[in-house]
Amino acid sequence: MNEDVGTTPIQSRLKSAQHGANGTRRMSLSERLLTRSRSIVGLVIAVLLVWLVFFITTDGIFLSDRNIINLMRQTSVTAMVALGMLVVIVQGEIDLSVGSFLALCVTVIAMVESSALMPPFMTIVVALALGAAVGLWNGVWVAKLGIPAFVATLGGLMAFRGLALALSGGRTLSGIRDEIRSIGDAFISGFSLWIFLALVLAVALAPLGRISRSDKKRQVLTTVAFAIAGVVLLTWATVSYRGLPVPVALAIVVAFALNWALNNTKWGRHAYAVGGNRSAARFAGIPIGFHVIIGFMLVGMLTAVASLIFVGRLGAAPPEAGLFLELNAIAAVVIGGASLYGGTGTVMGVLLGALLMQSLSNGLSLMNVPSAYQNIASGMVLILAVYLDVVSKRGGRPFVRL
Amino acid sequence: MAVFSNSRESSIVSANTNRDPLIECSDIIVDFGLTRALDRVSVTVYPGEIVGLVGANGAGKSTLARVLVGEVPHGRYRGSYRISGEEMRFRDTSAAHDRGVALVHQEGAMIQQLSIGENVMLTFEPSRYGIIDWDRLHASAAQALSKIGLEADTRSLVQDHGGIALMEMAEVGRAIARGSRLFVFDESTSALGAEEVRSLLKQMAALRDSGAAIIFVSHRLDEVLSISSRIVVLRDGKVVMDAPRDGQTHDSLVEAMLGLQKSRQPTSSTRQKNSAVGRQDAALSLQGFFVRRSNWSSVSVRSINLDVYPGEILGLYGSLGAGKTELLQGIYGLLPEVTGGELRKNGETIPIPDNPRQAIGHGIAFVSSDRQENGVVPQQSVLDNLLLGRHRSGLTRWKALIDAEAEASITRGLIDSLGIKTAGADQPISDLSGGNQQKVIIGRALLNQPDVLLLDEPTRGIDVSAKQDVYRLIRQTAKDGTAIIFSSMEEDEIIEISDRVVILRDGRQVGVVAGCEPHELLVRAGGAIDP
Repeated sequence: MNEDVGTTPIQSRLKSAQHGANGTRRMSLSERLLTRSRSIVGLVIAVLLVWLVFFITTDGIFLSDRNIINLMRQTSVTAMVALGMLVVIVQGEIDLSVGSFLALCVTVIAMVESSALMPPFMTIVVALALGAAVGLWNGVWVAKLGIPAFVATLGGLMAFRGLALALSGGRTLSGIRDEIRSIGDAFISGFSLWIFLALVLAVALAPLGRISRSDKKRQVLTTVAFAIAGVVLLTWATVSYRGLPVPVALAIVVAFALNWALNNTKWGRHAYAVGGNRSAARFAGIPIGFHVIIGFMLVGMLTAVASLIFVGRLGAAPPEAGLFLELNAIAAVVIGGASLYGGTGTVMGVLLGALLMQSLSNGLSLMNVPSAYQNIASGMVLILAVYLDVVSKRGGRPFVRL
Repeated sequence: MAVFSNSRESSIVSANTNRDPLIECSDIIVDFGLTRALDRVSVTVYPGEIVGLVGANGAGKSTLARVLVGEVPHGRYRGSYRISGEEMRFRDTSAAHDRGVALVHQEGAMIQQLSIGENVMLTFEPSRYGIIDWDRLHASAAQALSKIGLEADTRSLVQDHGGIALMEMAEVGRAIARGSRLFVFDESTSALGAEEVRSLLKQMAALRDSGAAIIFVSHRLDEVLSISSRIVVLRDGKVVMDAPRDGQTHDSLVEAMLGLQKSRQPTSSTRQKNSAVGRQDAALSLQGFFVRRSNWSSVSVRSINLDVYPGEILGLYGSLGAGKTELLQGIYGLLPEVTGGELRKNGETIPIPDNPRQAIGHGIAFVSSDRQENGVVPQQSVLDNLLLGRHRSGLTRWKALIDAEAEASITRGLIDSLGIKTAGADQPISDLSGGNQQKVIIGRALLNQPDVLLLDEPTRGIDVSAKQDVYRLIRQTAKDGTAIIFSSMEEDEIIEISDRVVILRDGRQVGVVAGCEPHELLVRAGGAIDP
């Protein structure tokens, strides 16, 4: 970590005297093992462990093709929002308003749909525009008017749900047309499924093309191995069941696109700098306000997509939609290894974090555990996962000195 | 500067011989790596006297102060350190506090949101059954403050008063309330205005008269001369003078600080004279440039007129709080609402940048003096840190997509040409040493191929060999035609590297000199020449 922070000039001078002749700091073996084992690999192991336990306790039902598809579909809404939340958190901000905004957005979608004044295509446009507008609202309060994101979006959390209730009158709205419903409950099957799977495989194998030029061959190989395992699992479950649910396909596409953008665009690389050291980013001439506003707009639009999935799946818009969604999304991001102080976090981590949380509630539901206990389990897993991550980041020391 | 003459009392000096010393340091040695910061330093301080501690940068005065207040703990130094005849073995600063040694910070370490009284009594609030006795707290605080002649409403919040002077005084008050007997003022006046300095010095005198011992570390020789009863001069870690204040002058102190370096040749004559100076348009020209005092700029900079020519290295010399950082940040667009005056680039007037992006667009680059705060993004790799901003065309396609191959090759080239010691472009920057991190930050500035490069104390906190690398880099950059402003408070390096030197003091420009000597520099920046 940042060795000069919190040390006096004397200490840092003493430290720099200890540096090796090559000018770099040597890590101890245990330090290296701990930093290696954390995040992605650790998360995969955690997910596999949870799956193994549920496989045994549910007599194999948990890992049936039907339940795997179900689990993926349940994960897709949280994952979609969490991917947007990742960008916001990477930049050192937070958005607490997404759950309430989902309630507002599904209400608006249901109202537009039931009025049937516009073609279904326009419903999607309206939802996305609403998401962008709400993101702009949050972003302007934070980046232009200087309200802390926690407060600005806490206000949104209250106001948007109130607005949703005012619009719906507290009733569950229905009358969703088939085109919108298909976003939530349709399956991709047959020829198009094979094409989709082939594309996913191609993208998953893409890092191999650059392996000859990469310094981290082993890391690339590990990533590709995981990706292939994921594709195999996806292929098996979708082909043997009814196909690939549209929400899952959407989540996969968004995840790939975001992962690509974060690693291969100027915007993406600078997003990490905005959260990692905002002052340094400003000194380097990066437009901070632009980045922050774009982040809020992105999470707003992805929440709008999640709203379309939600409405499509349910065929109705209940006023309590999206309750605690913001907290589940933040939990997924944080379990995925991102720091709430900004500067770190990966798409892969977020997907695994969302999957871990959803696996727990899915498995416990299969075991008929009451939801009260499910919540307790989720909460404990959240704390434990972040604690393990924190311990590994500070080199294995279990306690912190304040 | 006759203002302070009343506080000089030579009777104190003679009285000392009858008393026991409060502090006795003998043969203190401190090594930092291969450099010896203190070399067999012996200093004695008596109660009721103010000892001025002066020396050029790197002479070891801060190190000595840090030994006294326990910041350099026992074991890190060799030699003996006694208080009232008893050997001290401080583990940290709080151990030193307990023995009555207090450091008064440069800017005062106060909690803004608490009242003055609470700040003075922090961590030893009078209480009954764990409940704070407010009346007693404020009475004790007021009593402590009255010893230095300060009458303030102890119930009012620190933040409502503002001003570093009050914070420093509250810190002194805290030390008095704790029963401190030795007060180390480390450059306490450097961030203060003239009025505040006067009252601080008056309060130091009051403190001395109450029987405390004071060590006053300062760059400002006038202030040291006005208040000290004895003056200790350090040079290269050694005590070169320990004499009563009487009989000392500005010149005698400077001479002691620099030793026989007076005869040293001005380095600019050994270097090729810069031919561009005066013959063509200045790369950057400031006319009546100013920075107002604000939340972001603690010092106001008044009416600066300077030119820097292509290929020239212009030194910007001044002590801490002279306004170097504010001036450079103002030019770079970091203080948009408080700057004014005229900025000309290659002869054409340009608006003062509103933000760093505009400054970069005008071909101006900046390296901050605070590498950790404003420079590195610790979570990111060497490559990402080096390229941060990505303003240079050719790094991206359609100004948005990263060209991984171009980035990798440019990074490899920069790592080689800057001599950055790293395991690879993908290594996290936090693994590098301070000097190598600094090279990355300088590389980031050079990447945009600026016409004007502003360097704010670019060698702060890096080791000697990295410093040499940085100097070489700066000279090479100047040779390639970039105009450079190099700010520093170390007279040696500023003379070593600059073609001309602009001297700042209290936010004012007190001179532009070419090829001067350390002596002249110190005298001017120390305030012998009143503007």
